[in-house]
Amino acid sequence: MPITLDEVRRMLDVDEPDYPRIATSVGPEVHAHLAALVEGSDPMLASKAAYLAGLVSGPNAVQVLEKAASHVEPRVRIAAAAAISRLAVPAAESLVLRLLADKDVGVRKLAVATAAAKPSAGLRSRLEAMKTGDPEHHLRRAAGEALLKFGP
Amino acid sequence: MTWSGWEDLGGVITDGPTVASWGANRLDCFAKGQDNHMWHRWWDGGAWRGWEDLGGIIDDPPAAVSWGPNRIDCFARGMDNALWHKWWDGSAWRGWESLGGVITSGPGAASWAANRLDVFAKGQDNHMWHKWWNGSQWSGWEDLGGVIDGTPAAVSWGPDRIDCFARGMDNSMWHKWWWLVPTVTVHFKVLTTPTVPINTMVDSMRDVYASAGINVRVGSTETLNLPALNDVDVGACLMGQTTAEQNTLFANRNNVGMNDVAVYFVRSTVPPFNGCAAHPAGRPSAVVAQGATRWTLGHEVGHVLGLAHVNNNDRLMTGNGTANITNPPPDLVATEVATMVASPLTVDV
Repeated sequence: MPITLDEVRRMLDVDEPDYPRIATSVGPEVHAHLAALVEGSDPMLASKAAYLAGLVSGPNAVQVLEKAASHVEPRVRIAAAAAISRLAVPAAESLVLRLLADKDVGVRKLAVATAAAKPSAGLRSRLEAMKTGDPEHHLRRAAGEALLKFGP
Repeated sequence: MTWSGWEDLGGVITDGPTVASWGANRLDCFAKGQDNHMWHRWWDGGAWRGWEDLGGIIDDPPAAVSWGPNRIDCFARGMDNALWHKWWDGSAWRGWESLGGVITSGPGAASWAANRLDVFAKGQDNHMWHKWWNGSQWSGWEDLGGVIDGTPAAVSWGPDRIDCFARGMDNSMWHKWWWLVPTVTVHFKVLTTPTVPINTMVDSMRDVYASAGINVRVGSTETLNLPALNDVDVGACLMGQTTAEQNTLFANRNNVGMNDVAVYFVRSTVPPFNGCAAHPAGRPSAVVAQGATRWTLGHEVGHVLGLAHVNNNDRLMTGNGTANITNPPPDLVATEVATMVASPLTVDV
Protein backbone atom coordinates (compact mmCIF):
# COMPACT_ATOMS: atom_id res chain seq x y z
CA MET A 1 0.00 0.00 0.00
CA PRO A 2 1.46 3.41 -0.89
CA ILE A 3 2.52 5.60 1.93
CA THR A 4 0.19 8.48 2.76
CA LEU A 5 0.95 12.12 3.44
CA ASP A 6 -0.16 11.74 7.05
CA GLU A 7 2.20 8.82 7.53
CA VAL A 8 5.10 10.84 6.18
CA ARG A 9 4.16 13.79 8.33
CA ARG A 10 4.01 11.56 11.39
CA MET A 11 7.46 10.15 10.68
CA LEU A 12 8.96 13.61 10.36
CA ASP A 13 7.01 15.42 13.05
CA VAL A 14 9.25 14.08 15.79
CA ASP A 15 11.98 15.92 17.64
CA GLU A 16 14.85 13.86 16.28
CA PRO A 17 13.83 12.01 13.10
CA ASP A 18 15.86 8.92 12.26
CA TYR A 19 16.39 9.91 8.64
CA PRO A 20 18.37 6.84 7.49
CA ARG A 21 15.70 4.52 8.89
CA ILE A 22 12.87 6.53 7.40
CA ALA A 23 14.64 6.65 4.04
CA THR A 24 14.85 2.87 3.90
CA SER A 25 11.21 2.46 4.86
CA VAL A 26 9.75 4.60 2.08
CA GLY A 27 9.86 4.44 -1.69
CA PRO A 28 10.25 7.07 -4.40
CA GLU A 29 6.52 7.83 -4.20
CA VAL A 30 7.31 9.68 -0.99
CA HIS A 31 8.63 12.63 -2.97
CA ALA A 32 5.14 13.84 -3.82
CA HIS A 33 4.36 14.02 -0.12
CA LEU A 34 7.70 15.63 0.66
CA ALA A 35 6.98 18.28 -1.95
CA ALA A 36 3.67 18.97 -0.27
CA LEU A 37 5.34 19.30 3.11
CA VAL A 38 8.03 21.59 1.70
CA GLU A 39 5.25 23.83 0.43
CA GLY A 40 3.36 23.64 3.71
CA SER A 41 3.13 26.25 6.43
CA ASP A 42 5.45 24.62 8.98
CA PRO A 43 9.10 25.55 8.29
CA MET A 44 10.39 22.89 10.68
CA LEU A 45 8.46 20.17 8.91
CA ALA A 46 9.39 21.63 5.52
CA SER A 47 13.08 21.52 6.34
CA LYS A 48 12.79 17.90 7.55
CA ALA A 49 10.97 16.97 4.35
CA ALA A 50 13.61 18.68 2.23
CA TYR A 51 16.39 16.82 3.97
CA LEU A 52 14.67 13.47 3.61
CA ALA A 53 14.22 14.11 -0.11
CA GLY A 54 17.95 13.92 -0.58
CA LEU A 55 18.13 10.54 1.10
CA VAL A 56 15.49 8.81 -1.00
CA SER A 57 16.50 8.00 -4.56
CA GLY A 58 13.97 8.78 -7.21
CA PRO A 59 13.38 10.88 -10.27
CA ASN A 60 11.48 13.54 -8.36
CA ALA A 61 14.03 14.16 -5.64
CA VAL A 62 15.54 17.09 -7.49
CA GLN A 63 12.14 18.68 -7.96
CA VAL A 64 11.55 18.57 -4.21
CA LEU A 65 14.94 20.07 -3.54
CA GLU A 66 14.38 22.77 -6.15
CA LYS A 67 11.25 23.79 -4.28
CA ALA A 68 13.17 23.71 -1.01
CA ALA A 69 16.09 25.67 -2.48
CA SER A 70 13.66 28.41 -3.49
CA HIS A 71 11.82 28.47 -0.19
CA VAL A 72 11.39 31.82 1.51
CA GLU A 73 12.50 30.34 4.82
CA PRO A 74 16.31 30.02 5.12
CA ARG A 75 16.01 26.91 7.31
CA VAL A 76 14.37 25.08 4.43
CA ARG A 77 17.06 26.22 1.98
CA ILE A 78 19.69 25.09 4.49
CA ALA A 79 18.12 21.65 4.63
CA ALA A 80 18.08 21.59 0.84
CA ALA A 81 21.75 22.56 0.69
CA ALA A 82 22.61 19.75 3.07
CA ALA A 83 20.42 17.23 1.28
CA ILE A 84 21.86 17.90 -2.16
CA SER A 85 25.13 16.34 -1.07
CA ARG A 86 23.23 13.04 -1.07
CA LEU A 87 22.00 13.40 -4.65
CA ALA A 88 23.87 11.72 -7.46
CA VAL A 89 22.38 13.53 -10.41
CA PRO A 90 23.88 16.30 -12.53
CA ALA A 91 21.02 18.66 -11.86
CA ALA A 92 22.36 19.06 -8.36
CA GLU A 93 25.19 21.30 -9.54
CA SER A 94 22.88 24.09 -10.64
CA LEU A 95 21.12 23.92 -7.30
CA VAL A 96 24.39 24.15 -5.44
CA LEU A 97 25.47 27.10 -7.55
CA ARG A 98 22.23 28.86 -6.72
CA LEU A 99 22.61 28.18 -3.02
CA LEU A 100 26.25 29.27 -3.01
CA ALA A 101 24.93 32.68 -4.05
CA ASP A 102 22.18 32.73 -1.43
CA LYS A 103 21.82 35.88 0.62
CA ASP A 104 21.70 33.85 3.84
CA VAL A 105 25.03 33.02 5.45
CA GLY A 106 23.79 29.68 6.80
CA VAL A 107 22.59 28.57 3.41
CA ARG A 108 25.94 29.46 1.83
CA LYS A 109 27.76 27.60 4.60
CA LEU A 110 25.89 24.37 3.87
CA ALA A 111 26.22 24.90 0.14
CA VAL A 112 29.98 25.19 0.49
CA ALA A 113 30.06 21.93 2.42
CA THR A 114 27.99 20.27 -0.29
CA ALA A 115 30.13 21.74 -3.07
CA ALA A 116 33.22 20.24 -1.45
CA ALA A 117 31.67 16.83 -1.92
CA LYS A 118 30.79 17.44 -5.59
CA PRO A 119 33.82 18.75 -7.41
CA SER A 120 33.14 20.36 -10.77
CA ALA A 121 34.53 23.21 -12.80
CA GLY A 122 31.49 25.37 -12.20
CA LEU A 123 31.61 24.89 -8.47
CA ARG A 124 35.38 25.45 -8.40
CA SER A 125 34.94 28.79 -10.07
CA ARG A 126 32.22 29.83 -7.65
CA LEU A 127 34.20 28.68 -4.61
CA GLU A 128 37.25 30.57 -5.80
CA ALA A 129 35.13 33.69 -5.96
CA MET A 130 33.81 33.04 -2.47
CA LYS A 131 37.28 32.38 -1.14
CA THR A 132 38.16 36.00 -1.68
CA GLY A 133 34.83 37.74 -2.00
CA ASP A 134 32.37 36.36 0.54
CA PRO A 135 31.65 38.96 3.22
CA GLU A 136 31.85 36.33 5.98
CA HIS A 137 35.33 35.40 7.13
CA HIS A 138 34.35 31.86 8.10
CA LEU A 139 32.86 31.29 4.65
CA ARG A 140 35.96 32.58 2.86
CA ARG A 141 37.95 30.11 4.93
CA ALA A 142 35.45 27.29 4.32
CA ALA A 143 35.54 27.96 0.57
CA GLY A 144 39.31 27.76 0.62
CA GLU A 145 39.21 24.48 2.52
CA ALA A 146 36.64 23.11 0.06
CA LEU A 147 38.90 23.96 -2.86
CA LEU A 148 41.68 21.96 -1.29
CA LYS A 149 39.45 18.92 -1.53
CA PHE A 150 39.05 19.54 -5.27
CA GLY A 151 42.75 18.91 -5.82
CA PRO A 152 44.90 20.60 -8.47
CA MET B 1 0.80 11.02 81.04
CA THR B 2 0.28 14.26 82.86
CA TRP B 3 1.59 17.73 83.18
CA SER B 4 3.62 18.58 86.28
CA GLY B 5 2.95 21.60 88.38
CA TRP B 6 4.91 24.80 87.88
CA GLU B 7 8.35 24.56 89.40
CA ASP B 8 10.02 27.78 90.57
CA LEU B 9 13.53 27.91 89.24
CA GLY B 10 14.31 31.26 90.74
CA GLY B 11 16.51 33.99 89.38
CA VAL B 12 15.54 37.48 88.29
CA ILE B 13 15.26 37.47 84.54
CA THR B 14 14.30 40.36 82.31
CA ASP B 15 13.88 38.58 78.99
CA GLY B 16 13.53 35.05 77.76
CA PRO B 17 14.07 32.33 78.70
CA THR B 18 15.09 30.06 75.89
CA VAL B 19 16.06 26.43 76.16
CA ALA B 20 18.10 23.82 74.34
CA SER B 21 18.85 20.16 74.94
CA TRP B 22 21.86 18.18 73.78
CA GLY B 23 20.66 14.82 75.05
CA ALA B 24 18.05 12.87 76.96
CA ASN B 25 17.40 14.20 80.45
CA ARG B 26 19.44 17.32 79.73
CA LEU B 27 18.13 20.90 79.65
CA ASP B 28 19.98 24.19 79.29
CA CYS B 29 18.03 27.38 79.94
CA PHE B 30 19.24 30.88 79.14
CA ALA B 31 17.80 34.27 79.98
CA LYS B 32 18.75 37.90 80.20
CA GLY B 33 19.40 39.09 83.72
CA GLN B 34 18.88 42.47 85.32
CA ASP B 35 22.51 43.23 84.56
CA ASN B 36 21.92 42.50 80.85
CA HIS B 37 24.19 39.48 81.13
CA MET B 38 23.09 36.14 79.80
CA TRP B 39 22.42 33.70 82.60
CA HIS B 40 22.35 29.95 82.44
CA ARG B 41 20.57 27.32 84.47
CA TRP B 42 20.67 23.65 83.54
CA TRP B 43 19.22 20.27 84.45
CA ASP B 44 21.98 17.64 84.43
CA GLY B 45 19.74 14.63 84.80
CA GLY B 46 19.71 14.67 88.57
CA ALA B 47 19.38 18.25 89.71
CA TRP B 48 19.11 21.83 88.55
CA ARG B 49 22.43 23.68 88.48
CA GLY B 50 23.14 27.40 88.32
CA TRP B 51 22.35 30.17 87.86
CA GLU B 52 25.62 30.72 86.01
CA ASP B 53 26.60 34.18 84.76
CA LEU B 54 27.73 33.92 81.12
CA GLY B 55 28.43 37.62 80.80
CA GLY B 56 27.86 39.69 77.75
CA ILE B 57 25.64 42.72 77.44
CA ILE B 58 22.62 41.49 75.59
CA ASP B 59 19.35 42.95 74.42
CA ASP B 60 16.21 40.87 73.82
CA PRO B 61 15.91 37.19 74.66
CA PRO B 62 18.84 34.99 73.62
CA ALA B 63 18.50 31.94 71.38
CA ALA B 64 20.03 28.55 72.08
CA VAL B 65 20.43 25.39 70.04
CA SER B 66 22.42 22.18 70.21
CA TRP B 67 23.76 20.26 67.20
CA GLY B 68 24.72 17.24 69.29
CA PRO B 69 25.88 15.85 72.63
CA ASN B 70 27.79 18.23 74.88
CA ARG B 71 27.41 21.15 72.49
CA ILE B 72 25.35 24.31 72.93
CA ASP B 73 25.37 27.48 70.86
CA CYS B 74 23.80 30.67 72.17
CA PHE B 75 23.09 33.83 70.23
CA ALA B 76 21.96 37.24 71.33
CA ARG B 77 21.65 40.77 70.06
CA GLY B 78 24.29 42.96 71.65
CA MET B 79 23.79 46.53 72.70
CA ASP B 80 25.63 47.44 69.50
CA ASN B 81 22.83 45.69 67.53
CA ALA B 82 25.25 43.09 66.22
CA LEU B 83 24.66 39.38 66.57
CA TRP B 84 26.80 37.79 69.28
CA HIS B 85 27.65 34.15 69.79
CA LYS B 86 28.72 32.13 72.81
CA TRP B 87 29.10 28.37 72.81
CA TRP B 88 29.84 25.38 75.02
CA ASP B 89 32.32 23.15 73.20
CA GLY B 90 32.11 20.19 75.57
CA SER B 91 34.68 21.41 78.02
CA ALA B 92 34.31 25.15 78.36
CA TRP B 93 32.29 28.17 77.35
CA ARG B 94 33.79 30.08 74.40
CA GLY B 95 33.04 33.61 73.24
CA TRP B 96 31.46 36.03 73.17
CA GLU B 97 32.13 36.32 69.44
CA SER B 98 30.60 39.08 67.32
CA LEU B 99 28.97 37.87 64.12
CA GLY B 100 28.27 41.40 62.97
CA GLY B 101 25.21 42.67 61.23
CA VAL B 102 22.67 45.23 62.38
CA ILE B 103 19.70 43.37 63.77
CA THR B 104 16.60 44.81 65.33
CA SER B 105 15.29 41.76 67.16
CA GLY B 106 16.56 38.89 69.15
CA PRO B 107 17.80 35.91 67.15
CA GLY B 108 16.24 32.54 66.45
CA ALA B 109 18.51 29.56 65.92
CA ALA B 110 18.28 26.03 64.58
CA SER B 111 20.62 23.23 63.62
CA TRP B 112 19.83 20.47 61.11
CA ALA B 113 23.09 18.55 61.46
CA ALA B 114 26.25 18.28 63.49
CA ASN B 115 28.46 21.32 63.00
CA ARG B 116 25.65 23.24 61.29
CA LEU B 117 24.01 26.37 62.69
CA ASP B 118 21.37 28.66 61.21
CA VAL B 119 20.56 31.95 62.87
CA PHE B 120 17.73 34.33 61.98
CA ALA B 121 16.91 37.85 63.05
CA LYS B 122 14.98 40.90 61.95
CA GLY B 123 16.97 43.48 60.05
CA GLN B 124 16.63 47.24 59.91
CA ASP B 125 14.39 46.79 56.87
CA ASN B 126 12.08 44.46 58.85
CA HIS B 127 13.10 41.58 56.62
CA MET B 128 14.20 38.33 58.18
CA TRP B 129 17.94 37.86 57.72
CA HIS B 130 19.85 34.62 57.91
CA LYS B 131 23.43 33.72 58.77
CA TRP B 132 24.80 30.21 59.01
CA TRP B 133 27.80 28.16 60.06
CA ASN B 134 28.58 25.45 57.49
CA GLY B 135 31.12 23.56 59.53
CA SER B 136 34.09 25.64 58.59
CA GLN B 137 33.01 29.26 58.37
CA TRP B 138 30.22 31.72 58.90
CA SER B 139 28.29 32.87 55.87
CA GLY B 140 27.38 36.44 55.11
CA TRP B 141 23.90 37.69 55.86
CA GLU B 142 21.18 36.41 53.54
CA ASP B 143 18.03 38.48 53.05
CA LEU B 144 15.00 36.21 53.38
CA GLY B 145 12.48 38.98 52.85
CA GLY B 146 9.17 39.28 54.58
CA VAL B 147 8.00 42.12 56.80
CA ILE B 148 8.27 40.82 60.33
CA ASP B 149 7.90 42.15 63.81
CA GLY B 150 9.60 40.74 66.87
CA THR B 151 11.96 37.83 67.20
CA PRO B 152 11.71 35.00 64.67
CA ALA B 153 11.67 31.40 65.84
CA ALA B 154 13.46 28.59 64.05
CA VAL B 155 13.61 24.83 64.40
CA SER B 156 14.80 21.84 62.39
CA TRP B 157 13.06 18.49 62.40
CA GLY B 158 15.88 16.75 60.55
CA PRO B 159 18.65 17.03 58.01
CA ASP B 160 18.28 19.69 55.34
CA ARG B 161 15.14 21.18 56.83
CA ILE B 162 14.50 24.42 58.71
CA ASP B 163 11.18 25.99 59.62
CA CYS B 164 11.00 29.63 60.65
CA PHE B 165 8.08 31.47 62.19
CA ALA B 166 7.60 35.16 62.72
CA ARG B 167 4.93 37.66 63.58
CA GLY B 168 3.97 39.75 60.61
CA MET B 169 3.07 43.41 60.64
CA ASP B 170 -0.51 42.20 60.26
CA ASN B 171 -0.09 40.30 63.56
CA SER B 172 -0.52 37.01 61.73
CA MET B 173 1.98 34.24 62.28
CA TRP B 174 4.03 33.67 59.15
CA HIS B 175 6.01 30.59 58.20
CA LYS B 176 9.00 30.19 55.92
CA TRP B 177 10.85 26.93 55.45
CA TRP B 178 13.94 25.65 53.73
CA TRP B 179 14.73 22.24 52.35
CA LEU B 180 17.02 20.73 49.77
CA VAL B 181 15.45 20.13 46.41
CA PRO B 182 16.94 18.12 43.56
CA THR B 183 17.72 20.83 41.07
CA VAL B 184 18.88 20.98 37.49
CA THR B 185 20.63 24.21 36.61
CA VAL B 186 20.45 25.22 32.99
CA HIS B 187 22.26 28.04 31.24
CA PHE B 188 20.94 29.45 28.00
CA LYS B 189 23.19 30.49 25.13
CA VAL B 190 21.04 32.21 22.56
CA LEU B 191 22.22 32.32 18.95
CA THR B 192 18.66 32.57 17.61
CA THR B 193 15.55 33.31 19.62
CA PRO B 194 13.17 30.37 19.22
CA THR B 195 9.64 30.74 17.90
CA VAL B 196 8.20 29.47 21.17
CA PRO B 197 9.50 31.95 23.78
CA ILE B 198 12.23 30.60 26.03
CA ASN B 199 10.17 31.50 29.10
CA THR B 200 7.34 29.33 27.80
CA MET B 201 9.75 26.46 27.29
CA VAL B 202 11.12 26.92 30.81
CA ASP B 203 7.65 27.07 32.33
CA SER B 204 6.66 23.93 30.44
CA MET B 205 9.82 22.15 31.53
CA ARG B 206 9.24 23.21 35.12
CA ASP B 207 5.68 21.90 34.99
CA VAL B 208 6.93 18.46 34.05
CA TYR B 209 10.03 18.35 36.21
CA ALA B 210 8.11 19.63 39.26
CA SER B 211 5.87 16.60 38.99
CA ALA B 212 9.02 14.59 39.59
CA GLY B 213 10.07 16.79 42.51
CA ILE B 214 12.90 18.29 40.49
CA ASN B 215 13.46 22.02 40.40
CA VAL B 216 14.68 23.77 37.26
CA ARG B 217 16.94 26.73 37.85
CA VAL B 218 17.99 29.08 35.08
CA GLY B 219 21.58 29.90 35.93
CA SER B 220 22.23 32.47 33.24
CA THR B 221 21.23 33.62 29.79
CA GLU B 222 23.77 34.85 27.29
CA THR B 223 23.45 35.98 23.69
CA LEU B 224 26.09 34.49 21.40
CA ASN B 225 26.94 36.05 18.06
CA LEU B 226 28.29 32.98 16.26
CA PRO B 227 26.90 32.99 12.71
CA ALA B 228 29.12 30.07 11.71
CA LEU B 229 27.39 27.89 14.31
CA ASN B 230 23.83 29.16 14.08
CA ASP B 231 22.98 26.25 11.76
CA VAL B 232 24.98 23.64 13.51
CA ASP B 233 26.06 20.29 12.17
CA VAL B 234 24.97 17.66 14.69
CA GLY B 235 25.70 14.62 12.57
CA ALA B 236 23.58 11.65 13.48
CA CYS B 237 22.87 13.15 16.92
CA LEU B 238 23.90 10.06 18.82
CA MET B 239 24.91 10.16 22.45
CA GLY B 240 28.66 10.18 22.81
CA GLN B 241 29.20 11.27 19.21
CA THR B 242 29.66 14.92 18.44
CA THR B 243 30.78 16.91 15.45
CA ALA B 244 33.51 19.49 15.34
CA GLU B 245 30.84 22.18 15.19
CA GLN B 246 29.10 20.86 18.31
CA ASN B 247 32.41 20.74 20.13
CA THR B 248 33.17 24.32 19.14
CA LEU B 249 29.71 25.51 20.12
CA PHE B 250 29.74 23.70 23.46
CA ALA B 251 33.06 25.26 24.37
CA ASN B 252 31.14 28.48 25.03
CA ARG B 253 30.44 27.91 28.71
CA ASN B 254 30.56 31.25 30.49
CA ASN B 255 28.95 30.87 33.94
CA VAL B 256 28.28 27.15 33.40
CA GLY B 257 29.33 25.04 36.36
CA MET B 258 30.62 21.49 36.04
CA ASN B 259 27.26 20.01 36.98
CA ASP B 260 25.18 22.49 35.00
CA VAL B 261 23.59 21.97 31.60
CA ALA B 262 24.21 24.45 28.78
CA VAL B 263 21.43 24.78 26.22
CA TYR B 264 22.20 26.46 22.93
CA PHE B 265 19.31 27.98 21.02
CA VAL B 266 20.26 27.84 17.35
CA ARG B 267 18.38 28.59 14.17
CA SER B 268 18.63 25.06 12.88
CA THR B 269 20.50 21.83 13.12
CA VAL B 270 21.90 19.87 10.21
CA PRO B 271 20.21 17.45 9.72
CA PRO B 272 17.00 19.19 10.80
CA PHE B 273 16.01 18.24 14.33
CA ASN B 274 13.93 20.08 16.94
CA GLY B 275 16.86 19.61 19.24
CA CYS B 276 19.82 17.38 19.91
CA ALA B 277 21.29 16.35 23.25
CA ALA B 278 24.48 14.68 22.03
CA HIS B 279 27.40 16.28 23.81
CA PRO B 280 31.05 15.59 24.57
CA ALA B 281 32.02 14.07 27.92
CA GLY B 282 32.30 16.64 30.65
CA ARG B 283 30.29 19.24 28.78
CA PRO B 284 26.62 18.47 29.36
CA SER B 285 24.84 20.37 26.63
CA ALA B 286 21.98 20.34 24.16
CA VAL B 287 20.93 22.39 21.19
CA VAL B 288 17.37 23.52 20.63
CA ALA B 289 16.29 24.69 17.19
CA GLN B 290 14.20 27.72 16.37
CA GLY B 291 11.23 25.58 15.40
CA ALA B 292 11.22 23.53 18.61
CA THR B 293 8.05 22.91 20.58
CA ARG B 294 7.34 24.10 24.10
CA TRP B 295 8.35 20.66 25.37
CA THR B 296 11.60 20.27 23.43
CA LEU B 297 13.74 21.97 26.07
CA GLY B 298 12.62 19.61 28.83
CA HIS B 299 12.85 16.68 26.44
CA GLU B 300 16.44 17.41 25.41
CA VAL B 301 17.58 18.11 28.96
CA GLY B 302 15.89 14.82 29.83
CA HIS B 303 18.22 13.13 27.37
CA VAL B 304 21.19 14.91 28.94
CA LEU B 305 20.09 13.54 32.31
CA GLY B 306 20.08 10.04 30.90
CA LEU B 307 16.56 9.46 29.59
CA ALA B 308 15.81 7.60 26.37
CA HIS B 309 12.89 7.80 23.98
CA VAL B 310 9.67 5.99 24.74
CA ASN B 311 6.74 5.09 22.52
CA ASN B 312 4.08 6.92 24.50
CA ASN B 313 2.69 10.33 23.62
CA ASP B 314 1.61 10.99 27.19
CA ARG B 315 5.25 11.14 28.21
CA LEU B 316 7.88 13.85 27.89
CA MET B 317 10.37 11.48 26.36
CA THR B 318 8.11 10.36 23.55
CA GLY B 319 9.99 9.50 20.44
CA ASN B 320 6.91 10.32 18.42
CA GLY B 321 7.37 14.06 18.64
CA THR B 322 6.76 16.45 21.49
CA ALA B 323 4.44 18.31 19.12
CA ASN B 324 2.16 15.30 19.39
CA ILE B 325 2.05 15.08 23.17
CA THR B 326 -1.40 14.27 24.39
CA ASN B 327 -2.83 15.19 27.76
CA PRO B 328 -0.23 17.87 28.63
CA PRO B 329 1.76 18.33 30.70
CA PRO B 330 3.48 15.10 29.72
CA ASP B 331 4.49 12.55 32.30
CA LEU B 332 7.71 11.25 33.74
CA VAL B 333 7.45 7.73 35.14
CA ALA B 334 9.10 6.54 38.32
CA THR B 335 12.05 4.90 36.60
CA GLU B 336 12.72 8.09 34.65
CA VAL B 337 12.55 10.18 37.80
CA ALA B 338 15.01 7.83 39.48
CA THR B 339 17.40 8.20 36.56
CA MET B 340 17.11 11.99 36.61
CA VAL B 341 17.64 12.25 40.36
CA ALA B 342 20.61 9.89 40.16
CA SER B 343 22.25 12.04 37.49
CA PRO B 344 25.24 14.02 38.74
CA LEU B 345 23.61 16.96 36.99
CA THR B 346 20.72 16.88 39.44
CA VAL B 347 22.08 18.50 42.56
CA ASP B 348 20.41 19.06 45.91
CA VAL B 349 20.13 22.82 46.30
